[in-house]
Amino acid sequence: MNIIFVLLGGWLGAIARYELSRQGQRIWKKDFPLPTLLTNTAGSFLLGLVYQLSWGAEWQNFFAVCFLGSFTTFSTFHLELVQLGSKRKIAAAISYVLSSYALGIALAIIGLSM
Amino acid sequence: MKMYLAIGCGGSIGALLRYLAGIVIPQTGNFPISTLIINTIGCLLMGYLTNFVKQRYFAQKQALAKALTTGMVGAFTTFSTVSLEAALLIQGNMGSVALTYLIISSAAGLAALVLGLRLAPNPSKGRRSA
Repeated sequence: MNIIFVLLGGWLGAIARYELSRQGQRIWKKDFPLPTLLTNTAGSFLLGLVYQLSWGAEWQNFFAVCFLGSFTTFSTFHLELVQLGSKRKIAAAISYVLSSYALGIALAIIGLSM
Repeated sequence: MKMYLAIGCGGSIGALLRYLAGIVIPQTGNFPISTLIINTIGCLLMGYLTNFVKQRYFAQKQALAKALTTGMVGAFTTFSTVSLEAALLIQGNMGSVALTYLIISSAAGLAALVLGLRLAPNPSKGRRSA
């Protein structure tokens, strides 16, 4: 794949994620990390959708590997889990991890079947 | 504006590193080992850098701090691929592999993140800026 595609997709994905989390934190004031949850699960749905489309490998790789890979994040997800844990909000941490995986996988399956 | 440029550049580097790591790490069998390794390394880096950027040097360089953490490491690791891989395993009647994958991913991710936080220079020892 063209390296420019990787750089551009990563650039757009990170900025879109940052902007969504910034806007999200303005509206959502609670400890539960809803902005990351929404970003990650929306990205999972889109990846399922893109995976089964027939746009050709170049475009699919651009959206899937470069943009959506960068848009969604695993490290921030786990940083937030550790932060919830250190505030002794164990119930919130457990519901965050379970809802992320359940929604992410369910939406990916819906995307795959559309 | 500077913040967006910085985070975008971090995201480009993160995506490039993930792309290269995906080429280097061989994918054998059903278990998505490549994504697991990338995400675990990313969690270690996220833990380390989260404390590292609390040093005084970064007080006037918040764009650089965000570029390294949210931008670069955030883009290097990926959640959507984990969801898709688990979904494909479930559709292939390998639900137990999917469950094992998720448990190992999160256990390794949490352990790596806590290790990263501890390995980083301690910002509370007189060098705290914020």
